[in-house]
Amino acid sequence: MNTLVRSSLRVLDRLSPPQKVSAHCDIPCGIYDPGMAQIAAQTVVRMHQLIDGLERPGPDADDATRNAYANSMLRYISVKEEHAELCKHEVRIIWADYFKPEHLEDHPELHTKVWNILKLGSKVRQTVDAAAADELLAAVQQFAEAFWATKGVATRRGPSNQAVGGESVLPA
Amino acid sequence: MLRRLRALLPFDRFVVEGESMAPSVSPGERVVVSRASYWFRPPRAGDIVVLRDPREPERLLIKRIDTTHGNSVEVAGDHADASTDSRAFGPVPANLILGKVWFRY
Repeated sequence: MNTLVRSSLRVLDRLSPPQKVSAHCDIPCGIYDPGMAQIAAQTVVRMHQLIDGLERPGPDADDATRNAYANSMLRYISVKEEHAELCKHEVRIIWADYFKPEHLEDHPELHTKVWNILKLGSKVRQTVDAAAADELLAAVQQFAEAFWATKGVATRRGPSNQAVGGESVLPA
Repeated sequence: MLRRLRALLPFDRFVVEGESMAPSVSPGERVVVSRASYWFRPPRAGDIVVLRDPREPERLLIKRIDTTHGNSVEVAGDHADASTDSRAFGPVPANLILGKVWFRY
C-alpha cells in the first residue's frame, strides 16, 4: 500500500482510533501441555511407593516414633490427594479446551479415555491402591501421546529420571 | 456520534488483537475493511472478514470464511490451534459480517 495512503490512515487513527477486532481464542495463549498431568500422576505413584515403604511402629514404639509415622503417612496421603486432583484438572482442561471435534476422527476413543482417567483419579484418592496409581499413569501417558499426535509431534518414551522410576512420555 | 458516522462509511479501520489469524494478520496490525465488498456479491470462501461474535455481538472478530451455505458461513482462524471459530460456535448468519478485509496498513 502506498506511503501516502498509509500515513493518511495513521493520522486518521490518531484522530479517531481504529476499532478493536479480535482474532479471538478463548484461551489466547494456545499453550497446552500434558506434561503437568504426567508429573502429577507420577507423584501419585511415588506416594504409593512411600506409603508401602514406610516402616510401621511396633507395639512397643515410643510416642516420638508413632508421631513420626503418623506425620509421614498423613503427608504422603495429603500429597496423593492433591496430585490426583491436579492430574484430573490438567486432563480436563486439555480435553475441554484444546481438543476439537476434528481430533475425534483420529482419536474416537478420546472421551472414554478421559472418563477413565477421571475415574482412576478418584479411585487413587479413595483407596491406597498401587495398581490403580500405575493404571492412572499409564492412561495419562496414552492421553499425552494422543495429544501430541494431534499436533503432528512425535513422542518418545524414556527413563523418567525421577525417584519414582519408570518412563516418561516426551515430545521427541 | 463519530462512531455512528463511521458506520455509514463504506470503509472502516480496525486494529487486530489475538493470534488466531497469524501469520496472515498478526496482533497489532491494522486493517482497512470494505463494507462495500458485499453490496454486489455474496461472501466467498477464502475471504478474510470482520464479523460480530454470534455469542457476544458487541465483540468483533476477524476470521477467514471456510465454507458458505446460502445465508450462513463457517469461519475459521488461520492458526487453528489458537482460534475459537465455527468449530466452537457453528455457522454464522451472513448478516453478522461487517465487511471484507481489503488491506493492511
